[in-house]
Amino acid sequence: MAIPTAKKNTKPQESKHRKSTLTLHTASVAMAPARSITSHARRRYHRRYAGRYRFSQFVFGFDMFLLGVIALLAVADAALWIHSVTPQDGGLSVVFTSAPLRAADDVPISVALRSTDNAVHEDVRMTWHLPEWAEIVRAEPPISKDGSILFGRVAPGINRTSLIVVHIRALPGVHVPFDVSVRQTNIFGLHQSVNGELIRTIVSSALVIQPPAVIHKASAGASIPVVVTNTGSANLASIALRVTGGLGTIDGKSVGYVGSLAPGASTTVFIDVPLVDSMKRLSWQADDQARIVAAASTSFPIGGTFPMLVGAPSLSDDHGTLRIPYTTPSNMHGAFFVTIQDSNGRRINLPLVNALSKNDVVSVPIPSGAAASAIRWSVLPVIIEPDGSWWIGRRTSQSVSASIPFHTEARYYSTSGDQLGVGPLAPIIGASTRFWVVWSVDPGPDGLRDVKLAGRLPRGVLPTGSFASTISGSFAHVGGWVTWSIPFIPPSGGAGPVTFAFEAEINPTRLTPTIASASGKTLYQLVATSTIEAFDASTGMSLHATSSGDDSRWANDVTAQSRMKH
Amino acid sequence: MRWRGPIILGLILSLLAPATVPVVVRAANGIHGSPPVINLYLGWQLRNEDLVKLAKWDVVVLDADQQARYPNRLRKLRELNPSIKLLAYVPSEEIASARFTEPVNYPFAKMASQIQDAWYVRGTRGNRAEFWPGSALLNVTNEGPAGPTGERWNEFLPRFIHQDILSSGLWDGIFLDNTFSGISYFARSPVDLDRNGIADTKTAENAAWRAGMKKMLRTIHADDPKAIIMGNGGAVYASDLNGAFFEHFPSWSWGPNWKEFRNAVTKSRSPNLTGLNVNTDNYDRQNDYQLMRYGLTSALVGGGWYSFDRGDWGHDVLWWYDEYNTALGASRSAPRLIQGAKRSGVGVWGRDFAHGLALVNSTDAKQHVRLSGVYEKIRGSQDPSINTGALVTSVELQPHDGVLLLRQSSPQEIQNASFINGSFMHVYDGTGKQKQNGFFAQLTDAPSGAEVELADLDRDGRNDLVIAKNGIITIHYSNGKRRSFHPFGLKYTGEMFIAIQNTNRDPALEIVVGRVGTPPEVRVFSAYGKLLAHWSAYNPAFAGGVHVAIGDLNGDGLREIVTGAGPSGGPHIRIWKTDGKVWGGSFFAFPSSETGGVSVAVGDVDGDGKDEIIAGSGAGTIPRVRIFDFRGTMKAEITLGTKPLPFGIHVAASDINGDGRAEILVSGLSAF
Repeated sequence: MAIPTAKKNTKPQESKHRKSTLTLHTASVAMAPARSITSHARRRYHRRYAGRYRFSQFVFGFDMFLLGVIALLAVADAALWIHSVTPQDGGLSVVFTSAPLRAADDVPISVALRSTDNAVHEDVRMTWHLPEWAEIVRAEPPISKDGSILFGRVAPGINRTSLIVVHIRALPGVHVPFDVSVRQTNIFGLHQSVNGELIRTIVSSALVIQPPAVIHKASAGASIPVVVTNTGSANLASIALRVTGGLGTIDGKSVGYVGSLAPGASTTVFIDVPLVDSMKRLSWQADDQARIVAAASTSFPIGGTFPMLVGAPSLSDDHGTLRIPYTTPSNMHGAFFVTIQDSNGRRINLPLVNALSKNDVVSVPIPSGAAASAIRWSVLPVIIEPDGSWWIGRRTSQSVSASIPFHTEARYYSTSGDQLGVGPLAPIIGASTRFWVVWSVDPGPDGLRDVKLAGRLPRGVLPTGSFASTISGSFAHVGGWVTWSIPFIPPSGGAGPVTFAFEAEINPTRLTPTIASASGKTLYQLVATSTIEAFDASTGMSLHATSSGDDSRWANDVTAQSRMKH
Repeated sequence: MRWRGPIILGLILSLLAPATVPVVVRAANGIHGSPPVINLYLGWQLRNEDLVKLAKWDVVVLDADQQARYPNRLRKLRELNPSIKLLAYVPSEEIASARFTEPVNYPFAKMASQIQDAWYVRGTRGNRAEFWPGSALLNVTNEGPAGPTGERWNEFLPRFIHQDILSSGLWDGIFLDNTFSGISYFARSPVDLDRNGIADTKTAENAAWRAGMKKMLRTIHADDPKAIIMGNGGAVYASDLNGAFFEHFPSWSWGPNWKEFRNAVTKSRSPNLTGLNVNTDNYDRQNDYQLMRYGLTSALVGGGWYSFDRGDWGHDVLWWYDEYNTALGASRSAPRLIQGAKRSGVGVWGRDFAHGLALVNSTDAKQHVRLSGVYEKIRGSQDPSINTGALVTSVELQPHDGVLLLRQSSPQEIQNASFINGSFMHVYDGTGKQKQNGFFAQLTDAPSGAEVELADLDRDGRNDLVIAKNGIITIHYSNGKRRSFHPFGLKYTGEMFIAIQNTNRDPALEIVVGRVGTPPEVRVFSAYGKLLAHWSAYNPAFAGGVHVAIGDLNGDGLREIVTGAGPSGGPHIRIWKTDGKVWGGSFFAFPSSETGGVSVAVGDVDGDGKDEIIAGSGAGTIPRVRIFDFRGTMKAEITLGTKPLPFGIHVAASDINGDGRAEILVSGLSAF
């Protein structure tokens, strides 16, 4: 039995035929122009060449070749002519003018376009090409959406100028290329471009970062002050100082955020050196919006015992004077480098204060403007060497302590003798005593905003959840901590302190810590240290105060004391 | 069995009965919810000067002869205490020889003249039997001999009571003495009740006695169904009485005696006046406060009334105690054994009330009782060692002692009065006395410092919270819904003062709002925020603002709005109808030279049915509260300090302890 095979195409001719017709039709359409030329050439040949020459085809071909050469030469001549009548520079000159380049500053640069061929140039556009770290902050004329500046017509004798102000974020010494490309439309309607280039070197940085004086030496753990000054004309929005060598830290990190600096403004950053005696080369860089614009370094030995003894500085209630007790060796010139930090984080340097006497207290006046906005002060003792360099000691820094009268007390009775607490007046093991913790705050004549009260309850004491105040706020308690956040406390108007009270409960056990008592009675701590942080509602001054706790002696509760005696 | 259903139903009802028998709430001395007290005032004298004191009791039992001796004084008692119940004392089974010599118009003289010889109880030898010295026993049985008219004693007495005592119209009922369950234990010698010459057996005589007594009680009730009939002699006749009375409680042992008392409470007819009498055994020991408390708490926990006096030779005292003024409110639970032996019933028992708790220690040992919450001891001057006013979570009870405790005050009890949320409230009564511990009025679901008020605006039986702050009135309904509106327009964000009450004849409550700044307008809104009325309380240029309060100042059932000028104005008060028309006069609550303004509240602080105006001193002045009637006559003044307060004080009036009188709540005084 024969094995069947695949069926063959029964109509091969038909399909090929269809394909051939289509191809033929397409080709004939596409070749139409060529066909018309060849048909013209064919007619000419038959009219003028065929039968007239022995080698008529050769002659025809040679003539066609010559015609071709002539055509080529004509085109070439035309191009040469156009080129000859069209200026190489497009008929425009590009002249740059710029001020010396400074990093971290706004530098004006201008380009002037001028017609050099006494011709009118139409539709002239110019585009600046700058590195990405050179930011155009202003342009006149303004820059269009496509990045070009439209000058339009440039007539002979009239300069067209493009002025830009560029903010440069690079280190001094870096070369900055300023390129421009100018495009115009010539008499032939063709676009023509011309380029201009200027290369300038950044000569300096507007951001100056340096210690106030040459550093002769630093004690282990000292803080090196570095003054950062904006000597330029631009507002610097985001400055950071980075320690690049020497293991110094700024607030424990290698980068310290300085913030913004207005023209002419300065601030001080402290770079803390390690607690290790060594020879140090400390280097740092300043970034303007994350680009390095300045760098500096210094070297000094670390070690030795700093000869000045400095006591605990204290700020007067009106924040107008900082008193610093000290002892300076008689053969040394001591001084204090004092900075005041405002609510924006800027440190204002006060004039250097001499601390010459052997044993004294120096009073540092704080300017009223700084006093009103101060949130933190730093005192850096220095020994001024005969050559003016500094031996730097350890810095003391503290938040501006609040002059807010703030008081914490535990109460079993109200002032008028109402019983508030429940349970044994003297807490005893096995029984529960409830009482109220009262925070008293005098908001002063301006009132307080963003007030945060926090208090820790000792072991064995827990809040019950009850609270009371006539000032709106949020009361919370987690574990042994109680916090109260109040958006605003209005001025006291002479009414005295406002109170925030919450109920707590102590259930003493044998493990509950007790307080030593001369009377032999068992005493328990009822509330530990409490703190308040707030801002003056008028000046914005940051305020802080701490209040000690209270215990089961009920020192602030006269009624409780008298009941305990009985 | 067709009786199964009723039997089961009856068993269920009897189990439920103790829990459902409420302690009858009486208004002794005008104090709602105070312990119901009875005074057996059986002395011959009824002095005029004692009437005011005597009228403080809820029930007073007087000798029936008083209706002839002092009828106007009985009427006077009713005048002094319209709720008082006067019961005529009538012995059920004896007649004193002294009665025979009284003036003939006295009821007992009349009764004595009609007593038949056959009615006397005689022994087998024909001698008259006695119980009380000088009194001859009368035969209450159905078997005793009748008189010539065929009437027996237990038939004569009901008729006499009806015709000659209750018909006077001076009495609310009868107090029958000696309604004993039998005769054998109190007759001194064997008796012959049926006069057959043979001494009766104890069983027979007691059964006969009971049967006769029951018939007598039922006849009295049938003749005067509305009259209150109390019987002194135990629980055996409780179902035929409005109250069994237990004299000399506990007469043998507390446990079984108290159980019988409670049994009588459940069985007696309504109105239920079952009561205990505890006495000092005929010694003049008015200051035996422990004994008084023991009896009082036994009565309260058992669900009954209370009498405390000198004894059966001294039922004529006017001993009044601090506990009698305590507004415990209605009973909220059945008595419960807190500590002790269930079998004997001796232990620490307690009962919850709407506003407090009563505890009694019936054991012979001191007991320490832990409480389920914080309670406040009453403030007493008589026994300050017990009634200290202290807040406690546990109490020590001496043997055979008791104590009344009040629930700790909370801001939820300040109803229909506005206050500043988070403020410390000092509590005073209308006389300026500090009634209880101050407390923090902090509602946690309202912002601190806001003016708030709890009132049932949607009449669903639950209080809603109304908050006035920053120019917005927000109502938080108890069903979770909320509504807000701006009483003085969107631009006004200042302080507001609110008072919520019914200002018209529909049942819904309205919100009265005052403001600071100009104009000093008062606006009245429906609970939905619709403006119903508005007017300027003072000169439109006055910028100090206007405080508001609302109440019924003259007791006519219609309310008036009271306004007080704010700071920069004098402490001026005006009274308005609820539509803004001037009502009554106006006056200065404090010297007109004081320009700190005045805060106002309205409430019935003295229980006379009319609201008083309470004024709180303004900014920069010494803190004082003054109470006025609607004419501006000052009724009381309370001075609360010696130093001027920069912001003055805020007053509110609310009956926070349910005693029927508004307490004065003062805030603005520093708590610390």
